[in-house]
Amino acid sequence: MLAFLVRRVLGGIVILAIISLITFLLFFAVPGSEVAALSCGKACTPAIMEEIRHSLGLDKPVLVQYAIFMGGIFGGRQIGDTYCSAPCLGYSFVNRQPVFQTVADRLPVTLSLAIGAVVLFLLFGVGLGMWAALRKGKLADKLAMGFAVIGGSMQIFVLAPFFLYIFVYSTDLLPRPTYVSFWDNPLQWATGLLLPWLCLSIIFVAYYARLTRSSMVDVLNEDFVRTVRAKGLGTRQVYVKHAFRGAMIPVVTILGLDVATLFAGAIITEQSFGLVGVGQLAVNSVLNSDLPMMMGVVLLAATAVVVCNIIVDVVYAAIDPRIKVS
Amino acid sequence: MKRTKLVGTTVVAVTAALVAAGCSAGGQNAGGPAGPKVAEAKVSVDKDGSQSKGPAKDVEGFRKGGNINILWRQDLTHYDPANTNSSPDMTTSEMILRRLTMYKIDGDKTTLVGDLATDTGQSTDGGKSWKYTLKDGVKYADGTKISSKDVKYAVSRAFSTKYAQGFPYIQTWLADSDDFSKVYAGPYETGKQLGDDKVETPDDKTIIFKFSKPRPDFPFAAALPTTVPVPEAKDTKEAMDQDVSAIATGPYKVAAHEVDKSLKLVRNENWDPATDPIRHQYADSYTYQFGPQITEVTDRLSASAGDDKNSSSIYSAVAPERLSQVMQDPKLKAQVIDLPTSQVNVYSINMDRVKDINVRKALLVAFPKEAARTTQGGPYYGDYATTVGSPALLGWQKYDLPGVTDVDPKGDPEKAKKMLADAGKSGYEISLGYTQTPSAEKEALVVADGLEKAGFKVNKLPIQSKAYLNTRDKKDNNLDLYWSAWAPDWPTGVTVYGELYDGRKIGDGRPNNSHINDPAINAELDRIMQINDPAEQGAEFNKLDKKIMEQVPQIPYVYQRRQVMVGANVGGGSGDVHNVMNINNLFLKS
Repeated sequence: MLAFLVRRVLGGIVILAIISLITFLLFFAVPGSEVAALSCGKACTPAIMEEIRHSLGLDKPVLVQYAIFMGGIFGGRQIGDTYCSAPCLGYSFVNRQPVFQTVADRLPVTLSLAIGAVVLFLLFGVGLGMWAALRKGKLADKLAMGFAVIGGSMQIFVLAPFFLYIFVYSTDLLPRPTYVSFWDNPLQWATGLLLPWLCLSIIFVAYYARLTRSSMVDVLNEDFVRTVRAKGLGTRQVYVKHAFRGAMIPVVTILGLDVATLFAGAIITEQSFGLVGVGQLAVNSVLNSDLPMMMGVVLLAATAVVVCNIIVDVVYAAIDPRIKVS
Repeated sequence: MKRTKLVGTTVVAVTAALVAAGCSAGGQNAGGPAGPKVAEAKVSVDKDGSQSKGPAKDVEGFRKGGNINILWRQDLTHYDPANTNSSPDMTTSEMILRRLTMYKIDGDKTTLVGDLATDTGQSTDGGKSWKYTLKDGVKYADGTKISSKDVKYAVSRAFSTKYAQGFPYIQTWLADSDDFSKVYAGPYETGKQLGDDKVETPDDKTIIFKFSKPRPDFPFAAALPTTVPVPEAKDTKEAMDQDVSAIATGPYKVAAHEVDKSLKLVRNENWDPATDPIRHQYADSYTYQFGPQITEVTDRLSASAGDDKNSSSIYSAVAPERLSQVMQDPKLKAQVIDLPTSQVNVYSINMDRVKDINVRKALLVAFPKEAARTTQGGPYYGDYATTVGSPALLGWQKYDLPGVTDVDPKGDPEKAKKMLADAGKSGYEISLGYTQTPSAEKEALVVADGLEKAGFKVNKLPIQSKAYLNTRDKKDNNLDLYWSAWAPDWPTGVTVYGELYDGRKIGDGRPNNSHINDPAINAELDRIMQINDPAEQGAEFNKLDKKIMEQVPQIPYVYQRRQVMVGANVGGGSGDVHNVMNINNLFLKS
């Protein structure tokens, strides 16, 4: 297992290095003057532009710039007359805030949003899927899958204003979504994020219910299930101990990708509920042409995908004895 | 000077044509479906200081106390006065940081008055030098006195390349060079402040600015944040871009600032209302919430549930998809403040390519202003424009120019067709450039349709949004007709006519994007720029506007408006000089 983990982590680091190079080239290998112009303002003159180009290192070859950038992540670097301590991803072109700290500052909002939503949609999505699979072809199955079709066709930008209107603006049943740190007040943390969690969950519950049902139905038709039934195991043991684990393989695969996506910022959800997380940072960075900040968000997203993939591989082995980590 | 194509970019302009904007949020704020009509600008300068004394005239129905929430989609870009330039930044900055001069708005009148200074400046040599005296009793939040030497230091540091985001005017004029940081690099780099030959402070209350050429507009430039006093000992350089608590001089000071999340302003106990003719201290505090997007802001203010009733937008207009619903509900409409802005939206005609004035006149006659405006929200988008200058400019007056100002907003395709035929240009081919966004495409389609009805052959050329400004503002842009907009940095014609219609300023990236180059207009510009009396200069600029329109370098079609909103318990909603909510006038009704 340890060797497997080491191999996967090393592979992940290589992938991240490649992604960082491609992203860097995409963002910065445009003519230097244009990148400098993004950081130059109303009073921009050729002299100021030249100084910005120099202070950002844009007058150096692109690969040298990349090496300096990567060096900054591990050892910090000097940018103009400011020292950016490790891990340094540079400074925002817009407000001169350090990129790493800004992304790190936004991450708790996004993580909280993602964790709550994942718990909810896994609980209800997988549960509903299992329930439907056990009652395949019956009214309950049809109702559950009917809900899945409706929920899956919803969009956050429709649900969010609707939920806000019903639960906040009209009835005041729930507080307006806001982020309070879990460590400061767990109750406010949960109530403040309840609506965004519900919105995200409805869409994901529908999807995971359908996925779980179809996977479960497939597994229940497999030979090993017939064998354990023939051996006289009870229905509960057949479903929970044997079929369920096999049915979870595709669910875990998709879950890994979804969690990575959510960790990198549920852009529309954050925008709809005014939550200041990584998703909103990404949108504002794009709107402001803030390349260093965009780069920071992209690297975070890439890291989330790589890490989640490694975890998914490990979980495969844990839940299905037919898969070996080697 | 600025191009205002991109939302959220610099818009510093004076809403002198405050037709209804000065009203409170109680009832007559927003115009009806037809929208308020443009009124003549009423801008004046308080030369003798008689209107520069405090306290400020109270807003009708005001009440003191409480906390007002300000909702805005993102943190202010800059707090350091040397970097401040966008509208939300400016209007917030003015509550915290006072300048030498500032604008006092009273109903439909806008007056430039002395803010920290006793008047708007004295010049005895035709504008080559400007002398200011600080008022008695003006202090920082820590109780220390403001010195004229702090203003000199502030202007000196604005030369540093660190502050490239800020306004360049005063630095450019003092250095007599656009590349001012090459002439003087600022105190960080040189270890010295500007010399007495540029800015002199004979004592702690007096400051004299000296220029090599007359700068009659300096009193307006002195209202920019460049003149916010910064004591050298309190200059935290980069850190000041997020924290200006040490240099607060206005009615509010920063109590807390969480970058990208919130900003808390509380009363500055060392602000003396007797020295301030403009500002109030109604609310106990302001809490800025950064993050809510335009639709959320509209929905929250419309519902006004809980603490949202004590909230206000600052720059976010009412979301377009909610505009009709909001304006048709009398209760919600009363929460809307309909602001005229100083932005004029035009279609520039490339005079390098469309050389025949008869063709340009035919374009103007055929242009479907009404249809174009309808695609952007109808009357709420703005009033029909007939001049290149904004009604917000000092000296602006509506004038008659047959064939130009009396054209039906629907366009007159038959007349235009005849004009083209008479000029022997039937079927004239026009390349229409526009931004490739759904909104701009809708407008371009109706514009093209209107011109085609008049016999023009229109080639529609969508340009990617991010490349639009660069493409349009190239000298050889291969386009004939393209959308453009402009709002001045202060309410005189200097940053409008001097930038957009001076034929000696044609080039890549320059704002003269119609490429008009008329020696008579250039000469007239030189003459008017030297007029020291703002009112006389304004009147001359207005005459120049007519001369420019005779050449039809552009088709002005809308004086743009903006609808901002307050919560149900917020009163005092009005516009400020930056085309945004004047948040300092707000108060809680109960």
